[in-house]
Amino acid sequence: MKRTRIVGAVAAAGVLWLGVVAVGLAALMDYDNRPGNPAHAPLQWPAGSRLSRTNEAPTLVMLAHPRCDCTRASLGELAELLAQAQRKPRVLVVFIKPGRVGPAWEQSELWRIASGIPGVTVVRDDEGIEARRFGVETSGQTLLYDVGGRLLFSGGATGSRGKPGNNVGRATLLALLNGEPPPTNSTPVFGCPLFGPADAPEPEGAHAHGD
Amino acid sequence: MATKSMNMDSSSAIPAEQDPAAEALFLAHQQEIYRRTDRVFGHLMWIQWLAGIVFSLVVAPRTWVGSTSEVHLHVWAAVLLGGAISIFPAVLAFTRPGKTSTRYIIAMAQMMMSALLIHLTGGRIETHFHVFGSLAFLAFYRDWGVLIPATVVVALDHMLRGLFWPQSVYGVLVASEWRFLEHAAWVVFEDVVLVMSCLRGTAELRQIASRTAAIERVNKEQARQAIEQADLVARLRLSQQQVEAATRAQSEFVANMSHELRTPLNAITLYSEMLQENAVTDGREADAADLGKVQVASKHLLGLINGILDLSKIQAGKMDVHLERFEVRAMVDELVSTMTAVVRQNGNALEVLVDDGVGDMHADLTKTRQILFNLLSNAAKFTSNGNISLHVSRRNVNRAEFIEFSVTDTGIGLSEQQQSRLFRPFAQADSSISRKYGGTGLGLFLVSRFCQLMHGEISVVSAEGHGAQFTVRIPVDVPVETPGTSARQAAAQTPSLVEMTA
Repeated sequence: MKRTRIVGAVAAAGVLWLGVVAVGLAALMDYDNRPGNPAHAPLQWPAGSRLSRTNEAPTLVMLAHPRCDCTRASLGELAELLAQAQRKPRVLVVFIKPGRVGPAWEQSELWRIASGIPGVTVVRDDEGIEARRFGVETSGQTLLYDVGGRLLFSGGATGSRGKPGNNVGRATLLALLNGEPPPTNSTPVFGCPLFGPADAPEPEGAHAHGD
Repeated sequence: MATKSMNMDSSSAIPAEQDPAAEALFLAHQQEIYRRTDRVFGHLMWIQWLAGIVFSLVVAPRTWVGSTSEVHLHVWAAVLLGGAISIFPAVLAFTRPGKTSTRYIIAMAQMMMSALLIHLTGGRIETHFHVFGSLAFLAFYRDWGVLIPATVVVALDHMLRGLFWPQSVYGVLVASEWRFLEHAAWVVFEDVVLVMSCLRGTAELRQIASRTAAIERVNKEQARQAIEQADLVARLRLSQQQVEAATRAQSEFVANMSHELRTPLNAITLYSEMLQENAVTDGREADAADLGKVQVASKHLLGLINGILDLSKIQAGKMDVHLERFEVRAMVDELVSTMTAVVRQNGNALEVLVDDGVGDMHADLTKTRQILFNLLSNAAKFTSNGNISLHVSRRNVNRAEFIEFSVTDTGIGLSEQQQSRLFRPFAQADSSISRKYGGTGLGLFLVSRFCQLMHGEISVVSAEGHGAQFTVRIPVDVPVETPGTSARQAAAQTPSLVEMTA
C-alpha cells in the first residue's frame, strides 16, 4: 500500500515535472523565435542620409546595437554572406549610440568583430539618427539597396535570436548579390530593440560619424 | 578418497536463466550498475545545471533595450528551467536509485538538458554533441530501454520546433513536416549501435554471473570436502594410533614371551646334548637317537622363536642396524664353510663365485650374513640332487655402488601366485610345502626386511619346476639412519620387493 502511494506520487511528480519543463522550453523557444519590430525602410535611399552609398555596387546597411549579444550571430552571418557573395557590395555596419550613455559606450566586442570583417565599414550613429531615418527599430536589421538606391531587401540575417546557421535572410541576400531570384524580399529580424522609452530623439544636433 | 575435478570450463557453468543462483547474481549486479549509474547522473545533473548558468552569464549576461539593460532571459532560463530539469531526476537518483522510473526520468532529463544547452549556446553545432554523448552515457545502464524515452524527447523536440519554428531548426521558413525524421534518424543510428552494446553487455553480465555461481558452487563443494577430509584424517589418525598401540603391545608381549621361552629351551637343548653324549658313551643307541630328536626339535623351536623375536622387533620399529666395515669375501667364505654340510644334505652341489675386486662393504655384518644364510638354506631345502650357486659381485646402478648376492638353485621353483606372497610373514608357497619341507615362513620375510633396513632390495626370478634365482643388492656404504628417512619405519610398514618372473 505504501509502495503504491510512493509510485503514484513519483508518477504524479513526473507528469508535473514534464509539464513544467515543456512549458519552460516552449517559452524559451517562443522568446528565441519572437522577431523584433520590423523596419519601415524607405524604398529609395534617403536623400538626407549621411551614410555614403556608391553607384558602382549595391549597398548593404546593417543597423546594430553595440551591446546586443544576439547581434553577434548577425555579424557572423554577414561575414559568411560576404565570403560567399560573387558580387561584393558596399557594407556599412551602423552601431547606434544613444544620447544618455557615456563616451566609448559603443566600443564593444561587437564593434571589434564588425571591424574585423573584410570589406565592412563600421559607423557610429549618435542618438540613432540614421536608424530612425531608415525606419529601423531592431538590432541586426539588414537593408540592401541596389546601385540605383532602390531597396531590394529588408530583414534579419539569422533564423532566430542569436542563432547562427542557414536561414532565409542570408539566402535571400546571397541570391540578390549573385543575381539569382530571391526566395523573398523581407524576413523577420531577431535582436534587441535599438531604442527604449528613455531614448527619445533630441530635436536637433543629429550627427553621423564614419569610422 | 576420490575428489571431483575443480576445473571451471564452460561446461561447468549453467546458463544464468536456468540457474537460480546465477540469476540472483545477475540481478544483483545489474541492480548495482543501475544504482551506480543513477548516482553518476545525479552528480552530472548538478554539474550541467551549474555549467548552464555559468555559460549564460559569460555569453549573454544582459539584454539591451536602447541605452538600458536587464538580466538576459537566457540567464533566468539557465537558473529556473535548468533547475526544473535537473532537480527532480537528481533527487530521484539519490532517493530512489536503481528504480526503473528513476533512470527513465534521468534519460528524458538528459535530453531536455541538451535542448536547453543548445538554446543557451545559440544552437551551436558543437553543443549538439551533448545529445550523442548523453545517449552513449545512458548506455552505461546496459538497459537499452532508457534510449527510447531519450530518443522520443529528441524527436518530439525537433518535430514541434519544425512545426512551429522551422527556421530555427532547418534554416528555412517552410519545411516538410517529416523533416524531423532526418534528425531523429541520426539519433536512431546511434541508438542501434548502443542497443547492440547494451545487449552484448547484458549477455556478458549473465555469463559472468553463471561463472561466479559455478565458482561459488565449487568453493562450497571444496569446503564440504575439506571438512569431510579433515574428519576422515582425524579418524584415520585415531585408528592409526590405536593400531600402533596394539602392535606395540603385541610386539612387546611376543618379545617377552620369546625371551621367556628361549631360556628353558636353551636348557632343554643343552641338557639333551649332555644326555645324548652320555648315552653314546654308555652305548645306549636307542636313547641317543631319541635325545637327538629332542635336540632337533628344540633347535627348530629355537629358530622359530628367534624369527618371531626378529619379526616383533621389526614390526615394533625396534630393529637396529649396526654398521661396520668388513671384507665381503671373508664373510662369504666363513658362511660357506658353515653352510656346506647343510647344502649337501639333499645331495646338492654348491658353487661359490666371488668376483675379483668385490672388496669391503660398510653394512650390518650379522644381517648380511643372515640374509645369505636364509637364502642358501632355502635353496638347499627346496633342491634335491641339484646345483646351488652363490655369485657375489660389485655393481654400479644409477651412480650408486652395490654388492650383489645372487643365489641360484635348480629346485622346485615358484609359480607367479606363490611369488606374489613370498615376502609376507608366515607365508610359504602353499600349505603342502610347509608339511613337506618344514620351516616357519619367516625366512624370506626377514630377508626382505633386512634388505630394506640396509636400503637394499631383493628380487626373485623363478618358474615353477625350473628353480629360482634370488638376487639381493645392498649398498656398499649403507647410509646412516636419519629420523626423516627412517628405513626402519618403512621396513616395519611396507614390503620391499622387486619381483620378476621368468
